[in-house]
Amino acid sequence: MLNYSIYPLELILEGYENFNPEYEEISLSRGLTLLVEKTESNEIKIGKIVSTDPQDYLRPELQPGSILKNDIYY
Amino acid sequence: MDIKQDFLPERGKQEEEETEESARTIESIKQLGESSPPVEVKSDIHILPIIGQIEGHMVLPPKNKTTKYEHIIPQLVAIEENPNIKGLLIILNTVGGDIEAGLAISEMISSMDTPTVSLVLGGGHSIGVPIAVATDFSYIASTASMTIHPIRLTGMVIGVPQTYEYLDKMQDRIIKFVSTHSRIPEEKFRELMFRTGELVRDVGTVLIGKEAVELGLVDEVGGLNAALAKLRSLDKSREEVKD
Repeated sequence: MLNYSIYPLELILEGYENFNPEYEEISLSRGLTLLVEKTESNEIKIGKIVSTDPQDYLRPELQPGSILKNDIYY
Repeated sequence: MDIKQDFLPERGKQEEEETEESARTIESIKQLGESSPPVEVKSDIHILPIIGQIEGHMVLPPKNKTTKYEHIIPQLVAIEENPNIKGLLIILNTVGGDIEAGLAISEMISSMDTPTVSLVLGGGHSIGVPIAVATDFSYIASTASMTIHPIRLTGMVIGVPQTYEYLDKMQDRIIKFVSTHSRIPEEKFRELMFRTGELVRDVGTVLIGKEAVELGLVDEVGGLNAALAKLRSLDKSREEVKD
């Protein structure tokens, strides 16, 4: 990885040693898989969408970083 | 931990109740007369904010705000594929980031048929520069800034000539992309990158608002209204070409 940023690399990587995110896969229908992370308050946070249908990436309820709602359409 | 069982229970019933309820709400609003019920508006212009660090192959520690290229790239494909989307507005406020991720996003944007306009707000530094110029038309807010500086490996001593050559090649990729997608000549951009005396204790240049336009890096100084109007006109001329 080569960075081109106005921030010094030490600042960007600060805390990198103690940073171990744990991801878990959940598969919804039609080849749609989500890579999720459990937050401290036990919510499910979407980390990444894995799908070959590009339109899945435009679904507002599946945007990375959002909390998975239990009434999600799948 | 079984997330699926905990979190994805049956919907059906709840949804039915909700639609019934919203139908009742709309009905009662109609009966009251005056105000009309809200209509669902779907915008045909999409927006893609590129903020914080541009994240590539490495997941950065959580205190960084990042834009991840594995999210952006499929979204760009989806936008290009969707006939209902008439334009894409890219809002930039980035401090830079991974070179290959930034160049990948730039190349994707520059090869899209969907009209694209970028708006630099706050800052569009380092690898944000090629992304800003990759669109059909670019705007910069009068207070926004763009920093152009050489690539450096912080804390590492460049000892072997190969390493230096590698950095030089990476730099050339950025310079080439920027000079072919904007009005700035290659030599001028290189000169800005290595200029001394502009940045405190560093080599490079900061361009603010109209300076970026005068040098030909960005097309115009403007804001949201100008950017949206440009997208509309780009779409219109594209439709005319089709007919």
